[in-house]
Parts: sequence; C-alpha cells; structure tokens
Amino acid sequence: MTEVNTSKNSLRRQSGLAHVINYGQFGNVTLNGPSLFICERHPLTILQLDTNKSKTLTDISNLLNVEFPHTNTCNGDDKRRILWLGPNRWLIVEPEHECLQTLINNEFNSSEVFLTDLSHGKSTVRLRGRNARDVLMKGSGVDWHLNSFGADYCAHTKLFDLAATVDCRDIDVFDIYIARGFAEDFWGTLVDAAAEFGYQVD
Amino acid sequence: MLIINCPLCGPRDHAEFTYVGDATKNRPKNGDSSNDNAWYDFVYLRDNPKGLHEELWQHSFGCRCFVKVLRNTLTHEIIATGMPKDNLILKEKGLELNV
Amino acid sequence: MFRFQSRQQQRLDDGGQINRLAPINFTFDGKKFIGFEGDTLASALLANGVRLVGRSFKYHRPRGIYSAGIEEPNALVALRSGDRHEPNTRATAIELFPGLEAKSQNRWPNLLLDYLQINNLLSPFLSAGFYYKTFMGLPGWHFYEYFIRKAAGMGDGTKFKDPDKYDKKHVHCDILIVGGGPTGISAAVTAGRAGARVILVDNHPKLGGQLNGERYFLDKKPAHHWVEQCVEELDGLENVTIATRTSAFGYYDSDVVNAIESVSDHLPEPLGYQCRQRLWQIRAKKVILATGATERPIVFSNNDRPGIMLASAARRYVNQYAVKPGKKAVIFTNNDDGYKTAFDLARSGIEVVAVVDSRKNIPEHFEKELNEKDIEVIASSVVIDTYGYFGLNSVKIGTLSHNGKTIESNPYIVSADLLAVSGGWSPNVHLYCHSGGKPVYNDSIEAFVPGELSQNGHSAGASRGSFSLTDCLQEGHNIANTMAEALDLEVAEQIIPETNENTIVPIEALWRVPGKGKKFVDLQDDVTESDITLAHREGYVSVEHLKRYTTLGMGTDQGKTSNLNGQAIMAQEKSEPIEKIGTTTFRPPYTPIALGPLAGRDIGLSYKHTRRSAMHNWHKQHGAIFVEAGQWLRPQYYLNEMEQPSKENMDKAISREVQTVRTSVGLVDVSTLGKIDIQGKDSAEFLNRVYTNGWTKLPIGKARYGIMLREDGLVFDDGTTSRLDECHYFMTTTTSNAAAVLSHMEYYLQVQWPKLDVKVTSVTEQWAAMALAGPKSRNVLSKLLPTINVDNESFPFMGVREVDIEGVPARIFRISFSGELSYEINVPADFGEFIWQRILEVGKAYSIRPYGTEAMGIMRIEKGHVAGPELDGRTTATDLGLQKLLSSKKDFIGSKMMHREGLKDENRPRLVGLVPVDKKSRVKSGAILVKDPTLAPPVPKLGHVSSSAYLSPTLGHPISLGFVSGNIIETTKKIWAVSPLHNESHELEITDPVFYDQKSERLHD
Repeated sequence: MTEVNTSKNSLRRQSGLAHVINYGQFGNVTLNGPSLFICERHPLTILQLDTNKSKTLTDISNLLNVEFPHTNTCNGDDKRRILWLGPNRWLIVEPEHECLQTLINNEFNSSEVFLTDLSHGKSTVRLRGRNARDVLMKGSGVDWHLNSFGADYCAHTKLFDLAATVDCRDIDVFDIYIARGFAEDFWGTLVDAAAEFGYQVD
Repeated sequence: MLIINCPLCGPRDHAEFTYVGDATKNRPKNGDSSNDNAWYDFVYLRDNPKGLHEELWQHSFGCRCFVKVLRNTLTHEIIATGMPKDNLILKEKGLELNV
Repeated sequence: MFRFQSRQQQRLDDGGQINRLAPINFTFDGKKFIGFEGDTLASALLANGVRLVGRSFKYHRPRGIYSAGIEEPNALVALRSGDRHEPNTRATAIELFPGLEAKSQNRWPNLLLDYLQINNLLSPFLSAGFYYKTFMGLPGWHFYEYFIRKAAGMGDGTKFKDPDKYDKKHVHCDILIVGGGPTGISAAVTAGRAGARVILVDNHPKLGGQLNGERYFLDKKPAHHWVEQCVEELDGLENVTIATRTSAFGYYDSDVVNAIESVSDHLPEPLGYQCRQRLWQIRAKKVILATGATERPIVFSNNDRPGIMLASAARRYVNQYAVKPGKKAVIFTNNDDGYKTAFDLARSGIEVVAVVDSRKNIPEHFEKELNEKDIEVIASSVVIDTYGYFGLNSVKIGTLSHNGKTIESNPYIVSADLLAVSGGWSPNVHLYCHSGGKPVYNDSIEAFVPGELSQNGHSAGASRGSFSLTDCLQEGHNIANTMAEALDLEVAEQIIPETNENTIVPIEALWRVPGKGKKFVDLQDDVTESDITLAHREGYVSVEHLKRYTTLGMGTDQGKTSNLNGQAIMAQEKSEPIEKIGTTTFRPPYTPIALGPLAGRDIGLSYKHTRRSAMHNWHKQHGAIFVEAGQWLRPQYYLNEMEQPSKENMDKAISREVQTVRTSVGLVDVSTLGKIDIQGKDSAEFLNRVYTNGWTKLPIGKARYGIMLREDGLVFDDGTTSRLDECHYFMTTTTSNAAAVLSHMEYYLQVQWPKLDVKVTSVTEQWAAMALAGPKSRNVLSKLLPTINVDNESFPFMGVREVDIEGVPARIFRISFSGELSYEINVPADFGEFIWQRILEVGKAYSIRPYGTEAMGIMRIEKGHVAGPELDGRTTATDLGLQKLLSSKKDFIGSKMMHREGLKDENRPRLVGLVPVDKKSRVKSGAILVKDPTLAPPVPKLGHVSSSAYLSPTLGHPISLGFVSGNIIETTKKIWAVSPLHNESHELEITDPVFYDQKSERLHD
C-alpha cells in the first residue's frame, strides 16, 4: 500500500489493490533486468469535469494552468493531468489534493461546471518499460503503435475485457484507470500478461 | 468481428459497443398522446432489411456516445458512422436502400 | 524385416535445407530414429525408410505419407504423451524436435497387424450411408453405434488438463500479406520500401514457400539467395513485421484476419514464461492473399498405397529435405508439373522408370532433358492400378481411349516403389472465400480461382491461378504498389529477378481413370469414386449434399486434395460443366486449430471478471460465504468461528442474522447497488420523465422512492433518488440493472432529448455503501455521530444528511429495505473497510451483527418489497401494487403504452403473499400456481411464485411472494404451487404481500 499523508490516514484509507500487490521482480527477468515496471498510483484526486461553456473552460484552464485537451488526448505535467473523456467531459487527475474541488467550486457557478469526484472509484496502475505496448496489445484492439498512440494520447477501451482509460504519459509510460471493484482481477491479468517480459512491482 | 469507426474515438472492435437498435425509428413527441400508431411503430415495428440499415450502437467501453452506423446486413460492411442526429443515408447518396 | 535402423538410409549425401551437424532423436511407435534439424516428422520418417505411418479412417488400409505440407490427408499421428498428448497432427507439418514422440493411429493392436483391416474385405458393403441404411432402423442402434464409431475414426484426445499457456495479441497494419512464398516476399519488399506498415505471416519456420521445394534459379543463382537477401532487407525495415510459424486461419469481417503463432510447438515444451501458441487478431487496411496453390492427385484404382504421393511432394522431399522418398519412381501426370518432379528425382539418383502423361503431346522443351536423363515418356497413357499391400511395389500402365472412358491397348506392369502423381494445381482460395468472395472456375488451369473482390483482400500469384514464378513475383510487386498508392504512399521500385522456368503447356483435365478396385477421392475420409457415383444415383447431386452424404472433404484436411476431384466426378456423372456444379463453402479455420489460443487467458476464474466491494477482505476474514450477484461477490451469510459450512449452519446463520436486525441492529454491505450522480439545471425535469412519479417538489436533503418504466409500459427498475442540491441528485438502482439504467438515461439524453442540460455519471465504485438496520440503529448512529442530532424529527424517514464520520465524508440516507429503522451510509470507497469496522465496534454494545444477502432477501419478502424476481420485465406498476406511483399529471417514459388494454386487464396476475397451509413446506420460486394439482394437463396457469423465503424467523414459517390472476384473488383464498420437474405440489394460502409491519410504523419512528 502506498503511503498516505498522515499516519492516521494510512490506517483508515485502503486502496482497491491493497490486498493483491506483491513487490519485487517476477516473471522472465533476464540479466538485463526487468523490461517492465508496474506500480499503483495512490492516492489520487480524480475529478470528472463536465461543461459546455467554452469561456468557463478557458477560465478553469487558466486556474489549473493546464489546457483542456482535444478528443483522444491528454494535457498536463508531472503532477496534474487532464484527460479527454467524451464530448464536453474531462478527467482531472493529480496526487491527492483535497481542495481541488473546492477551488473550482468557489470560482465557478455550479450551473456552468459540474464536478464528480471519482478519486475512490478508480484504481490506477502505471505500466512502464520497453514492452509496455506489447502488454497493452494483448488486452485491447486499439492500435497501440507509437505512430498512432504517442505521448499525451488517451484511449477509453476494453482492456482485458474491462472498461479502462489509458493515458500515454510518455513513449513507454502508461497510466491505466480501472473501476475499483475490478482492480484485483485486473492486476492479476496484467501481471500474467507481463510475465513473459519480466517485470518489477514498485 | 466488426470494426466500428466511432466518430470520436476512431475505429474500435464491436465488442466495445453495445447494440441499441434500429436508428430509423422516431420517438413521437413526449406530449403527443393522440397518435397510437406512431407509438406502436416506435416501440414495436421493426423491419429486417436486406442491405443497408441504419443502426444505433453505444460506445459503452469508450466515450459512451451513441453512434449511428450504416451497415449492409448482407455483407456486414459498415459504410458510414456518425452521431445520432446525422443522416448517413443522405451522406452516402450513391447507395440505394435495400440493395 | 520391419526393424528399422536409425541410419537414415534414404538420406542424400548433400543438398537440402537441413543441418546435418544437428541430429535429432525421435521415436515413432516406440522405435528410435534420428533425423536432422530442418526436418519435418514426415521427412525424417522417409529418411529412415518408414513408409507405412497409419491406417485409413474406415477401411483401415495401410497408408503412407502423401504430401509435404498442411494438406496431408494420410499421415496423421498422435504427438507427445501425457497431458501434452495431441491426436491427429500432420506428420508433414510437425517440425522435428529432440525427444519427439509420435504414434500411429486408428490401428489395433499395431500398424502391421490391425484387426480392423477386415473392413477392407467387407468394403463392398461399406459404401456411403451404409451404417445408417443398415442399422438405424433396427432395434439397438445405440448398441451398434458404439462399435461402429470405434471402428471408424481418428486418434483419441487426452483427458488431462492442458499444462500450457495461450496468449492473444491484437495488431494493426496497412498491408497484411498472407504467405511468404515468392509472391508474398515480392509484395513485402515493395510494400516495405513504400513505407507501409506491413505484416507478413507464413506458417512455416522460414520464408520461401514453394521456392524451398524447387530447384529454381533467380538471376542465375539458386532461389534461396534471393529469399535470404529479401529477408535481410525486410528485417532491416522497422515498418515490416515478419511472423513465421504463424498460420492465418480465417478472414473475417472488417478485414480482420486471425492467425495462430506456434510459439513453442516446435520445442519439446515451452521455455520459461513462453506460451504454447498465440492468437494474432490482425486488423488490416489491405490484405494480400499470397496463399499459393495445392496440388491434387488423380483418381485411379488403389491410388492410396504407401509410396504414392503428390508429385510436388516427392520433389520437395529430395530438394528441401534431401530425402529419397523411393528408389524407383513412376510419374503420373496430366500437366507439366510431373516433368519437374521427374528431373529433380533423377538428379537425386532416383531411377525414374517413366513419366506417364495422359496428354497426347509431350512438351517439346522437355525433350532434351528427358533424353539426357534417359527418362521414358509414355504419352496418352494412365496408371490403371497399383500393387503392394504395405507399400507400393509395381504399377499397371495402359493407354487411354479417345473419350477417356476405356483403356485401349494391353496394359502392362512395371515395378516401382514410388508413384508421384500430379492432377494439376488448385489455388488456395480459402481465405478469399472467408472474406465473402465467390470463386469462379477457370478452364485454362482446370481449377477455381478468386472471382469478384469482397472486402479488401486481393489474391496474387498462385492463389489467383498464376502459376509461373515470374508472374508470381510480378503480381506481388504490382498489387503492393497498387495498395501503396491507395494508402497515399510513394510507390516503390523493385527489379523482378529473372527465372529459369519453361513456358507452361496447358493442363488437360483428367480426373479419374477407368478400372476396377478402390479409387480413392478423399483419402482421409475413405471416400471413393463409387461413393460419388452412388450419391449421384441416389440423387445427392448438389455439392453440399454430396459432401454430407459421402463425407467428402469433411476430414481435418477439409478436402484440400480431394474436393475438386469429387466435384469434377459429379460433374461428369451429371454431364454438366464443373462451374455449374460449383464448390462448397469454405469456412474458417483453414487448418485445424487448438481451442487454447482462442480462449487465451480467459479460462477458469479468469473467464469472467469478479467485482469486489471495498469491504470484501473484511468479509472474507469474518466467515462470509460468498454468492455471485452478476459479477459481484457478495456475502450471502456469515458463519461463526466454530461453524462448518453445512445446510443446517446456513439456516442457523440466516435466522441469527434476521433476528438480530429485527430485534437489535445489523449491518449489510450494499455497495453493489447502482449509484448514479445526476447534475444539471434540467435534472428535475429529466427525473420527471424517467420516473413515473413526480420529482419537482422533492426538497433538498430528501430521498424518494421511484419506479421507471420501459417504453412499452412495463416496469424496468426501481430505487431511491435523493436531492443533494438544487441541481444535484443521487440515484440508486438495483444491483443487476446498474449498467442498464445508466445506458437507458444516456440514450434519452443523447438521442431523444439532447437539449436537456443533465449530466449522468456512474459513481457505483466511488462509494462504499452499508445499511445499518434495526431498532437500535439510531443508537449506533448517534454514537458514531456524537455532534449530530439524529432523532426522528431532525433526521426523519427519507432524510438525507452529508456528514463527517471520524473525519470521513459520508452521505447517510434514512431509507429501508428491511422494514426496520435503517440508515444507508455511503463513504468514499477507500474508507469503506475502516468505517465498516468502526460501526461494528460502536455497535458491539447493541450486539450488532453483519448480515448477508439471504437475511436481506428474507426481510424484504417479509416486508413485501419487490426486487429483481418481481421486476422481471413482465409486470406493470399496478401488478406490483405500485399504481399510486403513476402520475397522471405528466408524461414519462412508458406513460403512453402503459394504458394499453392488455396491461390494464383486471385479471392480470397481481402481487400477493403466499403461505404454505402446513406452515412448513419450502416452495420453490418459479413454481406454477394452479387450482388443482391432480388435474390432467393442460392445467390452466393462475400465476407463479416469484420469491420464496424458506424460513421467516420473524413469522416462524416459510413465506413467498408471487403473482395470482386478479379474478382468482377475489374468489379463492387457497391455491396450489406445483413444480412438476421436482415432483412437488404444495397448498398455499393467498395473503397480503406485506407480512410484516403493514402500517410501516417501524421505519417511521
């Protein structure tokens, strides 16, 4: 389990993957070391934002300092990411930041922008390494080729038979969002698919 | 397998979509309760055309949008896709219904 | 005399594409042999002089190796042993690996002494349809069937679990090329140079296709130089993927081609984390089908003996594997191919006795080489018959009459141990047909070729009937460039190498030779010429009937060498052209495939994903017995520490849980309920349209129960929705309809009412939900929330509060499913287990207990609440007694259709309570309600039992909910529940559906 801000919290708050993650190196790890690195990202603030007012969007983007991305893409930096989810709908993700929702709500009219907190509803796994795309290819029919799905692309797809959102953070770094209730099953499938390449769980 | 070109997400396997139904049926206006036949048609009457057919699918594993699909029921070829408001048959003028 | 030595006596001293420095041990029927790296099992057996490898399907005739590829009808063997045992593998397609273990099939006790060869003597009786005609009408068919099926047949499967893993891979490309022969390689080079994303698949371990089996020269160098040079170039191109040992087996809609990669089939067992096979699902923009062609035999008497093989196969054995398939050969041909074989065999030191050519004119350009090699050509002649029981020893040759129906001069016999037969080549149009194409007959090559294009799969080279090497190379290049152009890529140059081939002289069709004795058309299924003529006489003349009546082409080879011959014979019988007879439909898979790669990792528990609530781990550690609810795992009940799972303990646990809730307080995990967040200024209007009751007046901080109808007026789902803010609602749905309700609402918002400003989002996973229920639940809640007043006035029934529980934000809804005072507490899921535990700790003072779905279900039946079994898609709101929820002041989904006559019939079955008259019978849900169980059928159905509680700890006897026709309810108080499948009938009393607290005082106080 990932460390949470306060010691009090760590007793109380538990990720959907808390009971399934084993740390270390597994699978076909060669002398060159593992070619995949898998870890959970937790806790995160995951906020869904709906608005069809472009002016509001510009204002929020100024407030957050991140542009709202177009269809099938993401924007952001190491900390804050905004993912396109669907028409007039985005997902804002960042390491836990409780006041993000308050921050936006204070600045904007609640009839113009609609926020839904999904921080606990999704489990997030980061898949990194030179075979990361090979693992994604096993689970989904999206074209994961670098030329079609490069950095800052995102896809909402059926990954290993589960609804997943995949954010390409960098050429070989992917953040995968999955419904919390399926997290344990997803983890099992993911590491099974990764075993032939050798992986390390951090 | 079919590949459906989601107007937003791009080409995806049909397993990411849920079939909704015939896209050519119009729902009678909500307030309109006089027209029994129109309701009967909307709820029950479905043709089983051989050839081109407009269908509605939901990209339930993707953007969750409803997508209109112009499909040839004979060959399974998907000729065009669009949003629910689009008229795909007009868009593909060259093609005749019920080929 | 049948003790084979492992000295490879038939191996040539040099040549071939085998590695003589890498010998490989293997066994066949327990005998040890040695082959070389690069061998197939078939070539290694031939190298060791093994000719007899199996017994035929029906007549148990001795059979040998017939081909050198996947089309093999004869040499089927059982490979490996134990849990990796695999029957019916083709010896011609198995790469030799160290320790390979193969066994012959369909013989007992062994290959030489097979008792069932008696079938061959009985064969005059065993024609098509014999068994059915003879035995089916007689009593005891089931007795005969066992022996008949045992006598005919293939190898036995293993009963062990497959120890290997299988994988899947989804790939995309601009151009997929199927087949790595000259056409495919040429296409790949051009497409690769043009910059297209190319995948080239080939089912062999290395590229080359037909070139590997021939002595062709390209630009005056042996063809393999060109292949190697191309492969080197392709390997260097990042946009090209070459997948060898990968067999494309099906061409599906949307230009999706599925292939299976044999990852470790060529190894004794998979290494480390390797899978055995991997399914490739290839999504291509364009497909080039360079699948080549398959040689077919000619039908003549006793054409199935070991030592008889396809001419191209004989050539491949000497050229690719450096194996002499015989010492003394006769070639029988109706086209130029036989000559190529004659020359290659002669060059390898095999004595070629004669080329028997059914054509009158011998191609002139062969004469020089024929003379050089001293090969006799017997024109206008045919092989009439063959001899040699366990292997060919001589053939009978005769001259064919003008009309081809009789033998003219005196036939004569020559000795030979190898008869290489060529009846012409059939393009492999299978994938083209899968893609939706209809093949057409081409007279000039006497075979079916691709017709009009379906999808984007273009055939090129031999697979479209272009048999010359130059044509293959050129066509591959041309089609690749046409595609590159269509894909907006620059076209590429390629200099097509010069070949050394001769002009082809046209084939003259010869399908069958007159004569007596068994003339096999389909060797794998033992279908003979006389079976086809019988089918014709009996009226099974359509190719589809012919196939099913005779089993022509129904074996694992799917008639690759036999279909056309069978169809041509039928055409002759009918005196019709072949194109009129047509061909049967080819369907995937092209070659037999294992089920493993289709399933991939979706096996066992992984077949279906499991969904767990945030409290799952706690349940697991505290005696929960789980039950599946859709994908969710839910605690059904909790056993105490010392209790073992048993029916008695289950009843005990359930009673305990119900009593605890009814008398004190219990806690149940209800996280699985669907939860939907609704926002936007038109939310109230939207709820008004989707629910049957009114929503505009619901105040902030209150919840309301509602039902939704479908457009047809029947009930769809129920649940509570709470108003959290002016334009913010929180909806709950039943567990099973969570996804359907969300889609339902999205449909209306996107398709029907796009102008409504409403956003809906599933938040099922965001919130862990638990219901704190029972008369003491308020005491527990007030302890949990010391600073908040939770008395009846401050927090009334249907009230909603957003609070903090020990710093955790929570939404509490005072709603009840159990009929007791109850609070549904929702907290962000990561805090679920923590809050669950805290409530149980605080509740200890009140003997709190967790309860499961059984206790929950019993209590809702006691309370007469409807759930899934009542909302079965056939009931109206009135049927359920919920008519007061139907607003007449507004339109809502279903409001129009619910007024139809049939839905308003007074006599429709209505919800009732049912109690067994003996107060102890357990009535099954689903039981049918009738007036009198003793009546003879058909008995009028008066209703059914929908939900049953086998015990109601509160009432002390079983209770049920069900539906009974309106007119019956009014006239009678007793009814019978029958379940004929279980041979059960019970008399029931009809009661009010609410058994407990009919005034609902307990939840309001």
